[in-house]
Amino acid sequence: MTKTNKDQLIKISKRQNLALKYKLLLTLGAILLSLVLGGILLACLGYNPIKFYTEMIMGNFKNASYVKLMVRALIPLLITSLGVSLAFKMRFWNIGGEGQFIVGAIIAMTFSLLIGDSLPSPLGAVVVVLLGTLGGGLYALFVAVLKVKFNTNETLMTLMLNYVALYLASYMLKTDFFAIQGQGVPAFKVIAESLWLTEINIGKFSFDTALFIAVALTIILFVYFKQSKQGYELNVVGDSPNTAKYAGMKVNRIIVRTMFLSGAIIGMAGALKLCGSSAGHTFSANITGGVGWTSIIVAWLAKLNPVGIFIASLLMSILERGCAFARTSLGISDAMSDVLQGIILFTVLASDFFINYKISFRKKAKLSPEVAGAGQSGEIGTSDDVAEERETDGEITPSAITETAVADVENADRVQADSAKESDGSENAVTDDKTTQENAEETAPKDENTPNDPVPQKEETFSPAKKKTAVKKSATTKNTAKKPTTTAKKPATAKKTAAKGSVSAKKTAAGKTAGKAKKTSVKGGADNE
Amino acid sequence: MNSSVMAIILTLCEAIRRGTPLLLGTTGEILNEKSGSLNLGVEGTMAVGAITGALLGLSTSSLFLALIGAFAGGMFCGLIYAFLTITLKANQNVTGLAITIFGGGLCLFVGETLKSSGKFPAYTTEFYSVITGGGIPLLKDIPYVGQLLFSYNALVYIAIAIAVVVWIYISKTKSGLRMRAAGENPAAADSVGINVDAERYKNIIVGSGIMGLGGVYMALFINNGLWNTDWINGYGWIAVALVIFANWSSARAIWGSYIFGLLLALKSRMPSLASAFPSILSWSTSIPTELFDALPFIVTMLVLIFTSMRKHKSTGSPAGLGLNYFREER
Repeated sequence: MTKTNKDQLIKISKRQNLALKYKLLLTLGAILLSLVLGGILLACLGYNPIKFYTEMIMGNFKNASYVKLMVRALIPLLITSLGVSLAFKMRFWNIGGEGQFIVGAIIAMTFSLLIGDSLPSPLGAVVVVLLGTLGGGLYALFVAVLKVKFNTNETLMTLMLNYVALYLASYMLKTDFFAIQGQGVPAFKVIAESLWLTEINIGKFSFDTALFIAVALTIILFVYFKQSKQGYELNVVGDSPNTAKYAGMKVNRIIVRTMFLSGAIIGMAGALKLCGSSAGHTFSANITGGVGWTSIIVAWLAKLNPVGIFIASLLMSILERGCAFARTSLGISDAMSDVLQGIILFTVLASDFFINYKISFRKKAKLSPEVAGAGQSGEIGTSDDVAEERETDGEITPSAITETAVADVENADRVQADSAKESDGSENAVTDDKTTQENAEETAPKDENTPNDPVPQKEETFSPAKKKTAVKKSATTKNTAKKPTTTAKKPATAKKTAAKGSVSAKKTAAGKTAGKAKKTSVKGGADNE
Repeated sequence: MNSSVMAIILTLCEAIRRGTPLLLGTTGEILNEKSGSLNLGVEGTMAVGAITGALLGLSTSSLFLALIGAFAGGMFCGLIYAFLTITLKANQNVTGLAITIFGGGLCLFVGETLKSSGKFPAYTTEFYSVITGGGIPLLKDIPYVGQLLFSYNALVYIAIAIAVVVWIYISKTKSGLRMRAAGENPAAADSVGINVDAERYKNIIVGSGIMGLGGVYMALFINNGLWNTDWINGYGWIAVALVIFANWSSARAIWGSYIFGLLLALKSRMPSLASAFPSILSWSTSIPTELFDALPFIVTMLVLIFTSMRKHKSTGSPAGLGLNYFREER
C-alpha cells in the first residue's frame, strides 16, 4: 500500500547492516512509543498516565521487598524465555510455554508429594527439579517428533497442549493427591520443607537460589548459541533447513533435540517456581502467571539473544509488577501489563522494519517509456500511467543511465549464468538460496549472500552472530562464493559510471531480472547511501 | 422416548450454538489465509470484537449496534495486523501472537476496569430476551424440527450466510480469484497487475471483522453478556485449526464448526444425555469434567496429526501462506 503503481515516490529496499547502536536506539524508541500509546489509552479511560507510570516505578523499587517481588517474577520469565528462544532460533514456533511450564510443575509437585521429606535438603530439590525438567522436555518432544515425522503444524500443536495441560492441572487440584478436599474450597498441599529452595542473602536483599540458576542458564545459552557446534546448527536450520541438509546436518535430530531442550528448560522454570518461595511452595492452576505468553514477547524483543533476553525479561517483570502495584494503589486492572506488552511488541515489530529496510524518497523522477515497457515483469502501469511517464520523459532520467543499467544487467546476468555453471557446488547454492527465500519468515537480509552477488566480499566483515546467513554460506559454499566475487566486480565498477544510480539500486539490479533492474536503477536516482 | 429425543435435539442445538463462533472465526481466518496471511491473532481479534461489541450492544440494547461494534473492533485488529505484516513486513507468526496478547489484554483490561468501577453495562430486560430468545416465528414451533433448525438467534443464521457468501466469493467470483492469486503466488499475481498488498489488506480487514462477530457471539450468546475473565477461552485457536480441518473452504467449515461445537457442548449436555440414555452413557458421569473441557483441544490435535499424516495433493492450503511479499525480492 505504501508502494503505489502510479507514482513510486517511496522506495523501500533492504538494508545491509545497521550499526548496533542504531538498532538499540530504534528498539528503545519503540518501547518509549509504546509507553506513550499506553498512556494515551489510560488517558482515554480517564486515568492519569504520568501517575500510573510513577506508581509503576514505585511498585518495583520502593524498597528491598519490592525488588525481591520483582526478582521473583523475573526468574520464571527469564528461564522460560530462554527455553522459548532455543526453539525460536530454529524457527520452530513453540508457543506451548504455558503448557510445558505447567507440566514441569505438575511433575515436580507429584514427585515432591511422593518423596516427601525422605531426602536431605538440597538433594531432594535437585531431584524434583530435574524430574520437572524432564517432564517439560518430554511434553515438547512429542510435538517435535510429530513435526519431524509428519510435518504437523507445531504452532497449533504446542498451543493445544497448553489447554490440555491447563485442564490437567485443574483436574489434579481436584484430586486428593494434590489438595486436601474439604467443605468448600480445597486446601492445596504444600511440599515438604526439605524440598524448598534456599534463599541467598546479598546485602539487605535476599534472593531465591533459582535466580542464580537463571543467570547461569543465560550465560550457558549465550555460549551455546555463540560458540558451540549445536548452537551453530540451530542457526543454520533456522535460516534454511535445506542448507543444513546440504551441509550434512541431521536436521530432524537437531529439531527433536532442540525442542526437547526448549521444553526442558521451560519445565525447569515450572519446577523451580514450585520449589521456590514465590508460589508459596504449592501448586495452583495459575502457577505460570502467563510467562508462557510473555516469554514470546521477551524472546522477540531480545532478538533471541540471551543477554538481551535477560534485559527484556527484566523490563517485562518491572512492567508486570508495576501494573500489579498500580492495581492496588490506583485501581487500574493489572491486565494493563498485557495491553502494554502487546503494544510494545507492535512497536518493536514496526521498528524492525526500519532496522531491516531502508526507505528512500525519490524526488520527482519519472520513468522513461522504454523502461516502463521493459518493466512488464513487475508493475503494470495503466495506460494513463504510461502516458504520464512519456510526458515527463527526459526531464530527469537521461537515457544514458538506462543504457548503462541495461549493459550492467546483461553483464550481471552473464556472470550469474557463468558462475552457476562454473563450480559444481554453486548450482546447489542457487537452488538452495531460492528455498531460503521461500522459507524466509523473517526479514533478515538474505539475498545478499547469493553467490552471484556483486559485493560478497562484505560478508567477511560481518560478525558471525549478526550475519548467520553469511557464515552459513561461506561455510557451505566457500569456493563457489569466491568466483563470482571476482567476476562480478566488472558490473559493479561499471555501474559507478551510472551517474546518479545509488549503490543499493545497483545491488538489487545485479541480482534481479533485466526489466526489473532497469527500473530500480533508474528509480534510485535520489537514493541516499 | 420423548425425553430422550429431546435430549439429543437439545444437544445438537447446543452444538450449533457453540459451533457458531467457531464458524465465524474460521470463516474470517479463511479469508486471511487464502490471501496469504497466516493470522494467528484470531483469539485476540475475537476478544477485541467481544468487548467492543458487547459494550456497545449492552449500553444501547441493540443487537445490530453490537454487531457493528464487534465488526469494527475486529477490523481494528485486522488493520494493525495488515499494517505490520504487509506494509512493515513484520513476521506473520509473531504479529499474530502479538494481536492475541494485545487483544486478550485489552478485553480483560477494559472489562475488569469497568467491572471494578461498577460501570460495566448490565443488559436490559428486552435485550436479554433478544439474547436468549430469537428464532424464526411460526417455523420454530414445529415439533423437533423447529427446535433443531429455526430456534436460534439471528447471528447463527448470519454466520451461515457469511460462510456461504465467503465460499462463493472465494471460489466463484473474479475478485475471489484475484485474492487467491495473491495468496498462492503473489509474485505472479503482481506481474499480471493484481495489487497484492491491496488484496491482502482488504481480506485481512474484512476477515478480522468477521472474527470480531465471533467474539461478540461469545460474549453475548455463550456468556449471556455477563463479564467473564475468559470470554473467548481458546475458541479462536480452535478456529485456526478448523481452517486446516475444513481444507480452507468456508462451506466445509460450516459442518466442521458444528462438529467441534458438539465437542464443546458435551460438557454441559452430557449429564442430561446420560440420564436420557442410562444404559449406554452411564459411564460418562464418572469422567471428570476437565476431560470434557480438554476434549475439543485433544480432538483438534488428533485432526492436526491425521491431516498431516495424510498427504493428499489437493490441499486447499495456499502456496504463499505465511510468506510476506516484498516486490524487490522476487
